[in-house]
Amino acid sequence: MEATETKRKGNPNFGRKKKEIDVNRKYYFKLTQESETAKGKDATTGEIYGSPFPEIRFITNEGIAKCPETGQLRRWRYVYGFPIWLDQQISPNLEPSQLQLEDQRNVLIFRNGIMTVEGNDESKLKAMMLNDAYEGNENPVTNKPKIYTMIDEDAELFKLEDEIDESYEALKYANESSLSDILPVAFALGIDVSDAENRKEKIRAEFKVKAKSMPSAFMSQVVNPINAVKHAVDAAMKKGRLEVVDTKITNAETKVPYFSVNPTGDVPEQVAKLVISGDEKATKLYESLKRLS
Amino acid sequence: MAITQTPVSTPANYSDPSITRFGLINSLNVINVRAMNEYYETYGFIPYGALNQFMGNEEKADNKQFRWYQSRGRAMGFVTANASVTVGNGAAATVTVGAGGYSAAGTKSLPALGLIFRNSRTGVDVRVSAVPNKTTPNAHTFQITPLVTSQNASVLAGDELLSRGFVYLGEQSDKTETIIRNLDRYSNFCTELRADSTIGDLAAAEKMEIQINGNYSYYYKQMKDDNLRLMQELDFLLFEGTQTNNLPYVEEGSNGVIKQVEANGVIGDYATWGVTTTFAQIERVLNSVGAPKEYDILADNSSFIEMQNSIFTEINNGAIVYANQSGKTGDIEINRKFKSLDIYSRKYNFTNYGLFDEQTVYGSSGLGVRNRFALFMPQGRENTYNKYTGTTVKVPRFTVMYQTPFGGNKWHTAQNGLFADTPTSTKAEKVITTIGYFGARVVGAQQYLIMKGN
Repeated sequence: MEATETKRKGNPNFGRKKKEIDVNRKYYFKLTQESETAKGKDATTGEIYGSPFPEIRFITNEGIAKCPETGQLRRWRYVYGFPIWLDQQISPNLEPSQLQLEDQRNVLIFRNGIMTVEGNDESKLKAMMLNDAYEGNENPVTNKPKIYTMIDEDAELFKLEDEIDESYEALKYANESSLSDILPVAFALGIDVSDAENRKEKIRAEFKVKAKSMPSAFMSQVVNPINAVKHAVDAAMKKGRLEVVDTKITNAETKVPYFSVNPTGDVPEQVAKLVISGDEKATKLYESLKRLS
Repeated sequence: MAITQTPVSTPANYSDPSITRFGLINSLNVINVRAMNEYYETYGFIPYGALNQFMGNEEKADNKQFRWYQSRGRAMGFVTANASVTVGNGAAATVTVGAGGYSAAGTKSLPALGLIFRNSRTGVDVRVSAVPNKTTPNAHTFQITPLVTSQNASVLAGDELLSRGFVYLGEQSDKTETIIRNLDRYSNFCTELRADSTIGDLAAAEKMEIQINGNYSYYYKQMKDDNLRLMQELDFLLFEGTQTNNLPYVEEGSNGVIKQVEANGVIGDYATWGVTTTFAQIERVLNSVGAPKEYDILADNSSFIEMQNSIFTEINNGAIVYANQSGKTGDIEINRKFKSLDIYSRKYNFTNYGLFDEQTVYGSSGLGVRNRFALFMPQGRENTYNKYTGTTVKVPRFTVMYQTPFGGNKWHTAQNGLFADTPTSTKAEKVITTIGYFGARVVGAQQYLIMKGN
């Protein structure tokens, strides 16, 4: 009779994966609390020289943490060249000497806000991650304030790339869009769009400046559907096609009221929100304004 | 013979057109031992700010914002290599100055033709044989050639090149470049501290009369309480103050000593205080910032006890001093209070500073951010550059700056109400207002230290 294999329960592909330490890599930790007002500034340029962090910040190199394997509380202590857990250090033959305990390499120091840890110094890396002051410590034992974080170099790089891409998209839109596409966004950004046909060069120039100086805010206005409606209503009111009479937005020629608005508030904004929410009357008004413009 | 009595030369009474015996004074403006003694009796510690004023470490600020200038870093400079460069023995290597080696918005850096550098990693001394690019901001390049043909000028990214000056110049040497020390500007503000007390006519019965230099004067119990509280609030301002940007009115606030040290000084955490371990660590960092030889440690109660206990347990014989009881029977007095410790050629004076102890000041739990907190204040004077006269002057490291916007004393006291010296209303009261304008100037904050237990 063939022996049958006992089937394993669960999917072996899903399990708590242990983060591997790359011994060939450098890990960077950065302080998170910046001081700007009290920092010295260059006497010539008035700018802060160097980093917004103190020159030297050292943290404690021992403490108590929850052991990742057992979940129990366990003392840790960073001694250069020794295992991180105290109970592993104090066994006979392994206990560090007084000189080794006083080794200055045991000190965990941030210089100008940054600490570099070599991947092959596993104990130091663990010391940095077990410390309750580390933002990435998900199982702190104390309520110590978090003062540092690990810099994820890849995430920083991709974040920078996103910012560069956004800046590129904003400038591309500012350069290539038609005047009719520009006007609602320019209006939302506070650019004077009156007499647009005669002032289109100036409007576009200001538009490009906005795109260059604040690409993120610029793009958020480009994709905001409210802006087109607001601009259409504002333009119609300025041209005398629409007016507010007795809390109702009204056709200025026929005096036929459309619907109620708050006359003391931002009327174009109110109409835009009604259109976005699907209000039938507001949508009809906007469609008619689009045909006229 | 009748005995004639000599008339008493000082008569019991005298006549005068009016009585002007009573004068309202604000004892805050009389910095004397009495005021601080009273503070000490009430709160159990001397306010460090007031103590410094008593020592003369105070200065009138010309403006609400006061500035001071300090030379940056050390007299000797260094740069780092931005990237690795590999060359053969004796050959020149062209190195780009790494980040942090520039000033004036990236347009100035240290390397100059003829300057000698030592690579701290390899120990090789090199001479700057050319400076191809000192114009592209943040991308200066310089060429280094080893002084000895058998040595190698190769660098790795991050290598520290330490300046050794213009040396080995030879006969009829040319003029060298001027090495200029960068200046940093620091600024802070004086800010207003105020107390108003309205004393009703019946409450005025609590006035307390004292004599100052033989003249009768008086102040109210409320005013005395106000003054004691203001001294403490002033110390809080000088040490714990912060600049503001979220007040509903225009007011910059003022950075206290702790904020200035947190930005520019050394901050360390400790788990347990050990005389040899913790002070050794402190010695290394203070030495690296060129610290002076004496410090006042202002420690909260918890850290003060930890320091005292560590000295007791680690120093031979527990550093206990026995009173001399020879020839006597009876009780022996044991002293176990350590006022200072001279270790590694640096002296530390210990103070149990109540201001940092929330239990002492407020009666609260005392487990906040100032629990197990110690501030190391360097002693002596420090150089600061006077930009107006172009000279270097020595000033106290910690100075209480003050302003008197309308002249007069540092603490301005005024009265309002029916019972003011000059009545201002018909309401039967006296309103006493005390206002001062103060800020802290910390010169050489880089050499201050904060130690925090956790």
